[in-house]
Amino acid sequence: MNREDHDIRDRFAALRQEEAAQAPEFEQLLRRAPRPRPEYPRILIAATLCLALSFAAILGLRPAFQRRHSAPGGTALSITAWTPPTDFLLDTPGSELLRTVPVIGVGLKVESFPKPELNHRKVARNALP
Amino acid sequence: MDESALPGELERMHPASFGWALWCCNHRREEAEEVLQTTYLKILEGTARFDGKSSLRTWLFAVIRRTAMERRRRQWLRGQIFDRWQASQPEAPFPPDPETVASATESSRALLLALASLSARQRDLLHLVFYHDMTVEEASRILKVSLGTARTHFQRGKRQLRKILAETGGRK
Repeated sequence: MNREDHDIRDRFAALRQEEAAQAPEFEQLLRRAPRPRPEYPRILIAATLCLALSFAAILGLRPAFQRRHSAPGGTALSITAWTPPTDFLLDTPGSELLRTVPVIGVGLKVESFPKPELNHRKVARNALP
Repeated sequence: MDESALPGELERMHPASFGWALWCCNHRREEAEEVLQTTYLKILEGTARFDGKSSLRTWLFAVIRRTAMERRRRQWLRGQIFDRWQASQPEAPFPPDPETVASATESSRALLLALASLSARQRDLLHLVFYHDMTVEEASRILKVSLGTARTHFQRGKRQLRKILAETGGRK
């Protein structure tokens, strides 16, 4: 260690002595109650409250939403009871004939069947080539 | 080490520990006392355990440093989150407390001001070696750097400190 190192060491030693004189008592420091943590700013409290309220709102509204979107009576519709919206297309004119058993001696009334509608569009003669 | 001997050992090393805590807290006395108290409680309550891999002093100083860093990190985080909209104070340079500098003797004042222009690692190494009479190896363990890095920083810091002290003409 050279002379300059001694100089630095002496300066640090002087600083150490000054600071050691300012040191609080060990027992006193240990017995001192821990400093209360700084209070959380209002923004944190507000954010926590907002979060809690949103959570509560979601939890509260969820059963109502489920009730509204479930089938009447609280049960889901059975798949066997469901009919497709295009089911009527299968009901062709004259399909009753196939479903009824003819009885001897009783004639079918032709009037009972609806006359097929002629929906052919009338084409103007002059429109033809 | 016998756990019942711990309080006695802590008390014996208390002045040096206070000096190191003061150093780690940039000479803010209140902060240093709080850090030291937290450290003692950590040790006595068993949160920090001495495993005997190093000397008790090296371990104690490492705990003090870590506690001070944790505190600083917490403060920084709080500042980042909540003081964004307030006029936040930037991290004070070393040494921050004008009272500390004013109350120090001329020699200490010159030393503190000269140290302020060094890097944090150089400052810490010089402090541990010259203030606490530690070896560079012990200091490197506390600062968690390799011995080679510690030696380099120590030499550079010492050279720089000498130069500044010579320029400013700080007398003892």
